[in-house]
Amino acid sequence: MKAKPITIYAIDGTKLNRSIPKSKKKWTTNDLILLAMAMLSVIFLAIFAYAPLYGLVLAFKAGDGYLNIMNAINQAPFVGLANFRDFLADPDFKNIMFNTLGLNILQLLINFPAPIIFAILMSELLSDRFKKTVQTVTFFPHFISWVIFGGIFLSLLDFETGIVNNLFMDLGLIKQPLDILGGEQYFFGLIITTSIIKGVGWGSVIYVAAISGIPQELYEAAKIDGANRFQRIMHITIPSIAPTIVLFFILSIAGILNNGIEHLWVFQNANNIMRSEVLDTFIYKYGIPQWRYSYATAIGMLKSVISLALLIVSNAVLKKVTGKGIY
Amino acid sequence: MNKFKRIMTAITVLFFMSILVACGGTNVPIDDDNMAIIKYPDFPLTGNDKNSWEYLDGQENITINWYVDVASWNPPTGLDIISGIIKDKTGIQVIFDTPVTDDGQKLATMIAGGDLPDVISIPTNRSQTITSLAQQGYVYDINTLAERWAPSLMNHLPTDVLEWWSYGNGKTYGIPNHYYSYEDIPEGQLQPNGGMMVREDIFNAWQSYVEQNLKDANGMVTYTGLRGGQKQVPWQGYITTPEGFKQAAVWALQNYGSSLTTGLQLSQFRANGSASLEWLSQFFAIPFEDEQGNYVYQFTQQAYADMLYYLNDLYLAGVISPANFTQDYDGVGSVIASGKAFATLVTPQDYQIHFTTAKDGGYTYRSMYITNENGDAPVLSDIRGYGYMFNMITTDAKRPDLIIKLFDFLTSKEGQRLISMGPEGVTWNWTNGIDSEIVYTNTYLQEKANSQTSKYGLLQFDLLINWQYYDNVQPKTNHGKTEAELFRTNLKRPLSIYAYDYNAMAFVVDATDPRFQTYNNNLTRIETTIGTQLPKIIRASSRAQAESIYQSTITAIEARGLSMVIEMNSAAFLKAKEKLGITTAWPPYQANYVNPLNRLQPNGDLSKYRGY
Amino acid sequence: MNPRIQFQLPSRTHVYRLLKLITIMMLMSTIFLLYTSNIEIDEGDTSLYHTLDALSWISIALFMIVLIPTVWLGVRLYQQRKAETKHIRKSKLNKQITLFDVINTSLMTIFMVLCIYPLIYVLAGSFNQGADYTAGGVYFLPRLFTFENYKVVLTNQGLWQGYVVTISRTVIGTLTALIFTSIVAYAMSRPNLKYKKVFYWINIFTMFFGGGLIPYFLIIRSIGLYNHFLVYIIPALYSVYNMIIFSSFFRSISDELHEAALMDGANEFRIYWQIYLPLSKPVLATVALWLAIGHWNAYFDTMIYTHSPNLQTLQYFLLKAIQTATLTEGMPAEMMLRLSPKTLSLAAIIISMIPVLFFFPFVRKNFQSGIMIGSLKG
Repeated sequence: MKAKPITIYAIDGTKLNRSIPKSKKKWTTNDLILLAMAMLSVIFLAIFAYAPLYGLVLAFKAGDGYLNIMNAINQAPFVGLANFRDFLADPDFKNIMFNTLGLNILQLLINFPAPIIFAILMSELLSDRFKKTVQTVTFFPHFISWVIFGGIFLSLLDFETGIVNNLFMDLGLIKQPLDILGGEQYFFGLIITTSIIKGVGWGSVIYVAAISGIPQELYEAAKIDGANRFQRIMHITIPSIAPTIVLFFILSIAGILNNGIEHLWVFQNANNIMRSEVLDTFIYKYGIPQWRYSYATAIGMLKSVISLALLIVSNAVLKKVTGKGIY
Repeated sequence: MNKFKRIMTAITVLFFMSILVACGGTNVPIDDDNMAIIKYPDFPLTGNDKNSWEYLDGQENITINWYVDVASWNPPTGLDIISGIIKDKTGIQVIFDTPVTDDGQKLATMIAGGDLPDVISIPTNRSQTITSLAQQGYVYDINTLAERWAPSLMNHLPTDVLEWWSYGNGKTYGIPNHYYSYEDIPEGQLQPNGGMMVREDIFNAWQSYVEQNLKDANGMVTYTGLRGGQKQVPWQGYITTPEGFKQAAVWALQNYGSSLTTGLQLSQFRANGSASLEWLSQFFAIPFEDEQGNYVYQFTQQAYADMLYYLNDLYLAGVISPANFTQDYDGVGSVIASGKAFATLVTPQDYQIHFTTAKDGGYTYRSMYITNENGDAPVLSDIRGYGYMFNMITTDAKRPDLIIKLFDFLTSKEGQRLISMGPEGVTWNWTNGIDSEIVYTNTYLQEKANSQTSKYGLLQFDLLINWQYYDNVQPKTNHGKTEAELFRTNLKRPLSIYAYDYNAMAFVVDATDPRFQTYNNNLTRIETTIGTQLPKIIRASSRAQAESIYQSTITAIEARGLSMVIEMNSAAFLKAKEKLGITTAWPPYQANYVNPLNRLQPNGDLSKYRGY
Repeated sequence: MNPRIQFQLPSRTHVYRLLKLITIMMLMSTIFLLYTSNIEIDEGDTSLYHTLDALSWISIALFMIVLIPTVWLGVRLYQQRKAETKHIRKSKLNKQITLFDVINTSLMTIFMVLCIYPLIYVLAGSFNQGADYTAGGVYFLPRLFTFENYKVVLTNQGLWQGYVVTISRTVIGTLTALIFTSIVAYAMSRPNLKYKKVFYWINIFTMFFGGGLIPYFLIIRSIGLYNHFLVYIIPALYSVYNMIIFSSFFRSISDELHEAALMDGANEFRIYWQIYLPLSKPVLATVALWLAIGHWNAYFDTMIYTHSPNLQTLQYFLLKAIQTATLTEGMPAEMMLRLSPKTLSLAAIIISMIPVLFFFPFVRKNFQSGIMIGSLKG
């Protein structure tokens, strides 16, 4: 790259015709060291993020049924967009997309604000000790894996022996036990509720820390001015933690189509499959055990494309609203 | 961005990708009949003068990995006596592995990962997997292995079994277990595979209720049919009619409500439905063949729909519990074990421990049958068949010559006796020479009474077992059997009079057909769709709703390629009949069929109980 | 330095704290003994019950003995403290308890119960005899007490194998990933990195677009990581997300330190290793926590990328225990009737949670400060 020459002015401000070529910076040892350090990421990503992109070629081949993936890539014939067309024509397509997008949007709408609200509520607690206890206890479920947590909830929500149904019936809230684990209509709610219980304590820590940084005087001043609790929250608390909120909103959009297969896998069963089949579980179920490698890769690729599109759209919206985006 | 840098990045990435493309992926040649051409290793051949494993001099000592693709299969520990004897005879120590779930994922990743175990055992209903493994050169064919290194295997393995599983090129790629060769099956009818059980105490109470209140002067009960109209049946058999059973179940729930949670317990509802529906369709004699000998797809038949509506009727009457649809194996088992079901349609042998527990707890279950509303006799499938698990030796195995000898030993009668009964002379002896009956030793009987027999590992290494042979050599008395074992073996015997050869339905679709991949994809989706909709039909809030869900299911499966599935099934069905040498498979259409229906014996023919 | 060791009398507060601890312990053991001596114990005979009875009486006595001085000391200390701080008035805003507070506190309490109850449920079930449990209804306390479930689980080879694998991967994986990621992050945080934008884009792009499960599997296999322990470590070495967190923290460290070190003749790597890394303890702790939890709870990679039993993680073992009857394998039939896979898996869950419970308090302390710093710099 040719360096731009530096223009020279005389002492009175007039431009001279000569110019001094800008010397190209020499590379120091430190520059090389830094370069090497950063190259580590390139090597890693080349292997684990970019090389797999080559496997995407499977999506355009008829590789279903080959037991050996490499053979599928090398030997199967090209079929262009046939796999994508198959998926779009798949009778379950509408259902899967509805479930995937629906679950994601719900999670964005509910699971994103939940830790914020929780943190605000916690900060309004009167006793510090109680607040610390709440934090510790709600913090705990995050550390347990979905295998365990899900397994426990499968027991708790059991149709006959689960405590939830028995409790509700004893309290007279319901007459018949609710088929929470099997009923399609309950699935979304089940996922949202369990993920809130598991994640809200953990997710709120950041907001709690941010809120604790807000000086008390602001609140006292507002109280003197006659602001009630709600107004205090809206006009002091939220604007103060707004940068944190925006940061995490951006980060959560980045993972938008990832439903958390480990979570869903626990609760998916033959009864609620119409509502519980999302892209990830579908790819997993039909990709590997059925050896439909091409089909699964095509769907996975479709998922990435939609994800990317959503990301671009939300970034544009974000830029319009807040002036800042991911890029 | 610096052009130079861009190029460098692209080159780096491409460099890596090319490396990866280069390594991996072997090109296995395919020959004309669409099967892979396998390369065999070069071990010295074995002769045919004695059993193949007897040629071993005890110098060989290897350990093999044996993967069994069934999550619930319990492997032997390897420390038991039987495993020790196997190691002595064949020099092979076996390490078993099983998956966590039954979805085939672990096997698929092992294959994709290029790291296969030495032996794989897969349930025979996963025909696509088995065929793909054979076609793409992942497993050896038994014929060649036996020819080279275990010629005596051909004397030990029944020919009809070997041929049933052969492909177009005449080769068989594995050996099944639980097969019932026509060479071994005795005369007469076998036990059925499925069965209906009912709690004896409540059953007796109901029968006396019918006798006292519903019977008329001629000993008949008059009742209203499902479609209206009056019908008559001998009073003992009233419970075996659909209408009668419903009334009995409702009565049972009313009068025994404290000890019952359900009138009719069905088995677990899995992704592709519940086994109970298969058994009920056999009790309701829904044909799989028409009078011209063509294949009939059962789900779309009106008779099948009527069966579903009957189940819906039972559900609405409270006979089938809503909990049934979310229970897993343990859930169903605990209902049975605590005697909380009036009647069950589960596969009895799958829950035999639970039925035994129930008996110990005071709730004895007995067999019974039920007919469709037309009064056709049940047509149950008997226990015969050509196999439950299919065992294959992979081409990754380093010593297939030794493994085939292991297969030979396990298939031979000597091996069968070892696995099922223990070492000769230690736990049992012949009464009258080889293949007469056996008698158990006193040591064994004592150890059995003290529950100390687990050291032997009996019946655990059952991957190549031939049940009929084992049954044939058993003493024909209750010698060596505990009461619980007798109870278990007799669970379904009275229903034997309704059990027939269903082998034609175990047809294997030709995997070398180019449409096989699509066929399998369609079949999977259809089965999943039916599996999802079945609970909905049964739990519909009204008959009209059940009908509409049923109709929409038919539309859905037709959209998923049902016609192709039926077409390929028909071809396979006709071929199976050819292999079996019959023209009519559906028993009631066969020339020598005699209607065995006996309403006076609602539990089946009790004289079929065996004392052994 | 004074060679003579000063002997200090423990202060009253210390004594009080110690006494309080002992009292609470005595109280708990009393409750435990009273409970166990009065419920049905599986296979308990009369001598066992007699022993428990005796022990519980002894425990009550001890509890009383310790209680009296504790209370007395506690009251004295309270009075002392009150006297000292009488003149300091803490200004509190109007501490009126409004309806909002009541609702808020109740909601929080309910939520806490939701979070902690699963633990109680599992504990109760794990101490309950198997066959009895399947009849249902064990919600808070075991109905038929037994240690049998724990005995079976603790003697299971697979459990310990899972522990070894999971602990190894957590320790090794976290350390290596921390170092690897922070090295890259440091480089990315330096303004004088050549081709910075190129690196940035190479990283960011991977957050948006991926190959999916199957091509990724192919790569794992091609490199030879399939069914190898390193498949848990190497693919987890780097994450763009963590790199961004590190680099934004590094950027916040004042450049003067950097300049000074350069003048002393240090190269960039030494600066990173000896100056920046020690300064980023809070962020290190936070990211280490994320990584450690990820490793600890992982099972999906075991399912897909391995098949050898030696490489099973703890969570995968638990998955098998919960979904199949793994834990009752090889048992004689009589034992099978007594045990239930459900209670066995609950016991396995408790055992696998013990390390988590143990590290939990440490984690809490460090986490607060780390996140605060991380978020404010975000």
